[in-house]
Amino acid sequence: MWGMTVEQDFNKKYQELINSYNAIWKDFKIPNFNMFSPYFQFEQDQKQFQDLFALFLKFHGSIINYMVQVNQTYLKSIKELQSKHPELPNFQSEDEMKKYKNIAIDVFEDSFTKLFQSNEFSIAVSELLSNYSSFGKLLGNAFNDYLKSMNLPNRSEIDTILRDMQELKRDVHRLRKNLDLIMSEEKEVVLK
Amino acid sequence: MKKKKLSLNKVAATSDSGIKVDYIPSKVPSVDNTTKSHSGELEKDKNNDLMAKINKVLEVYRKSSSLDVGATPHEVVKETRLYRLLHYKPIFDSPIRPPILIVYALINRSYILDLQKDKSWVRNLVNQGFDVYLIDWKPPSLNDKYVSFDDYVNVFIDQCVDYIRNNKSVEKITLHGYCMGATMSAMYCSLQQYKIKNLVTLAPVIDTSKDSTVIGNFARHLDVEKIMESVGNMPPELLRTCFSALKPFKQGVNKYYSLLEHINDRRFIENFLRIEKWLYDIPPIAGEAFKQWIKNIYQENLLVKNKMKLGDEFVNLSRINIPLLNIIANEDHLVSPEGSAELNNLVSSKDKRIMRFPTGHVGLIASSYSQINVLPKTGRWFFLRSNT
Repeated sequence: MWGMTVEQDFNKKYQELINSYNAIWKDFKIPNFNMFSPYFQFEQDQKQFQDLFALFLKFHGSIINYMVQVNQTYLKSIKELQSKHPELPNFQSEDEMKKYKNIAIDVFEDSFTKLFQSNEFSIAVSELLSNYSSFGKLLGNAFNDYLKSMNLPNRSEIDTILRDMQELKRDVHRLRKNLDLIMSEEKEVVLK
Repeated sequence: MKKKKLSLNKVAATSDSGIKVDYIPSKVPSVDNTTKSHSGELEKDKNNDLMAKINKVLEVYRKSSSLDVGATPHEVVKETRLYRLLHYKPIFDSPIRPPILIVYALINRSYILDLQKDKSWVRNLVNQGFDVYLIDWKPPSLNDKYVSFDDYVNVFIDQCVDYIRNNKSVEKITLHGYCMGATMSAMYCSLQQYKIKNLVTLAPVIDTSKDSTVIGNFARHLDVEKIMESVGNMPPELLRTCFSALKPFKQGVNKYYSLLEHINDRRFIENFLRIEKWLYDIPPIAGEAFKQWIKNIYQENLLVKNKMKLGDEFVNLSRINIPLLNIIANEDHLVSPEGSAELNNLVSSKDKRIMRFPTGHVGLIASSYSQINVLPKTGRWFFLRSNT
């Protein structure tokens, strides 16, 4: 429940931040005909910056969600361990330590496996990875601008070449196979 | 009774495992000869003993990179940018036919099938008289991010199958896959069955709707398109994170405790390190293939629906009618046994069998248990369907 509250609270604060950020730029009263004005590039850059900022906040939110779930499970495990073994073991006794260790491992294993098998956790992980990937994409976009300014192919253009090359390799393999088949059939005809 | 006092230098000198301990951290508790109380002495002995063990662990880890794996005699008979085809030296002049082609998974490295002499899946098959080949996948670079299952199945496996057929002058061979490699073998059989005599799968991923594993749970929710768009190939670090969620305490924590307990047992240490080396030896996975694996197999379960498309053709597992042996580990926490077993319901083979063993995913192929229980039965199944 605590996790949900944090998330809701975070979403609210995030929206407030975005609104106040947008309000600042509205106050500047940039003309609507900015396509033909020097503000055009500025607006594009500002959009990228805004995206990065929004993404950072989202990423932060997904880390919180992830950490809350892990910490709650940890606390739950500690509580369960205490209920199963209320007193700390005698650290001088090897047998007692071993027994305690085994109980602890069982308890933690059980709780964390349940967590890892839960939908909530896998969604949290997926969001975390997805937001992290978006950082890479935004950085890539920024680099694409540099590449463009140097008259070099950008990533999507290189990707197109790589994809085409892979398709060509497949085609060559299929053509070779068909050629082998035709040649072996011809051989059989000659032999007959 | 006077207790024996141990100093670190003494441990190094008298080490029966032959490992010289030359690393002494700065915080080593020193042995105080003036200690009078018996319990105090005992405690200090224990501390020293523990520190000596920890030092040994550090030393052992430093030596781990030099461990030999994949030692069964073999030669590389074909090599491309993305795979090597290994041929294991048969022990007989005329080994049992047809030859066996083992297709390994794209996850981790293939030497798990030949990890060490007494636990080698490959060596055992060779010693039973079979002619064994293995596809050892090489790590893809970012240039290979568009390599898909169509390439792995219809190009690479097909090239290896044709190589063996031509080289050994046989019409058909036995295809034998492990984990993801077993899934690829089943795909290949559904498309090119006329080249295959028998299909033997070890823990194949087939019906993911029955998958209750942690990996399955992660895979079902992963926004794989978005991640691959950003990273190109599936990075090893991400795979390692996923694997660390499997039995995180029983295997993740407890194994290091066991290592400390068995630090003087050279055999245990070597086994332990070989497995560790394999666990952390994770190559990236080609982005397109990984996308298909997660999306088509885990999220859409297309293999079961006969809707998985490779190239221009759909994989239809019901087309498979050759003899099938499906070997499953009942305690597999990576691939759900129920999901693997479904393969036998999907194929049309009359000669089909499931063998279940009470072991785990790795235990099925690289353990003393598998040498004693799994391999003799597998070998017998191969032999009964051989050409001899």
